[in-house]
Amino acid sequence: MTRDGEGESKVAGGPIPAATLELLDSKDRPGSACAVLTPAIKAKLMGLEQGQILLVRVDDPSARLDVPAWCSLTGNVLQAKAEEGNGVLDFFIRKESKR
Amino acid sequence: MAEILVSCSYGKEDPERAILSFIFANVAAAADQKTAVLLTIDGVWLATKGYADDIHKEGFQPLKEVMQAYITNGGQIWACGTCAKPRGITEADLIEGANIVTAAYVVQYLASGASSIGF
Repeated sequence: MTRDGEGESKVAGGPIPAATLELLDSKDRPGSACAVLTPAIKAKLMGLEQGQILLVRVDDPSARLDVPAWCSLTGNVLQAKAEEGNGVLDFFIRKESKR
Repeated sequence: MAEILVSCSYGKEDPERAILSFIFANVAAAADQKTAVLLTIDGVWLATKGYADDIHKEGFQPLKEVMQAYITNGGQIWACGTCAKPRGITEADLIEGANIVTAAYVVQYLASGASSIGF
C-alpha cells in the first residue's frame, strides 16, 4: 500500500482504486481528523476522473460519520467500506461530482 | 447546494475561535456548499492583509493555511462594514477573496434560506 499513492491498493475484496489517501495518525485522538479529512478527500478527488475510485484509509473512528455525510452532500458515492481489524477504516469512494 | 453562513467575531485575542470558524467553513466549502464567513467586531481584522499570518493554536492548523484552503474551495469572506469603518479598514486593506458587506446583504442571504452557525 502506498501513502497517498496511485492505484496500488491491495485491500482484499474492495473495488480497485485509482488512488489512495491515508490519514493514519489519529487513532489516539478521535475526532482530530474531522478538520482535515473531508477537505483532503475533496482535493484528492479533483485529480480523478468521474467513475474512478479513491480509497481512503483512516484510523479516526469519527470518519464513520464524516465520510458518508460528505458523500451525501457532494453526490459522490461511498461504494464500499471495510475495517482492517487494527482500527483502520477503509472507504472506497467513487467520483461522481464534476469538481 | 445549501447556503451556509459561519459567524466569527474574534481575532488574535481568541485564536481557537478564529481558527475553528474557518475550519468549519472549509469543511462546508469542501462539501460543495455555498459558504460565507461573516467577520464582525474584532473578527474583521482577519480579513485584512497579513493579520492572520501569525495566528496559531496548538493542535490546530495555522489559520493562514486554513483560510487559503477555504478560499481555494470557493469560500467567501465577508467583513462587516459597520465593524470595519470604525477600525479604519477599507477594501484596499482586505485579502484576496474578502469583501466588505452590509447588514442588509447578510439579512438577504439569511432570508433566502442560508443556515448559520457561530463560534
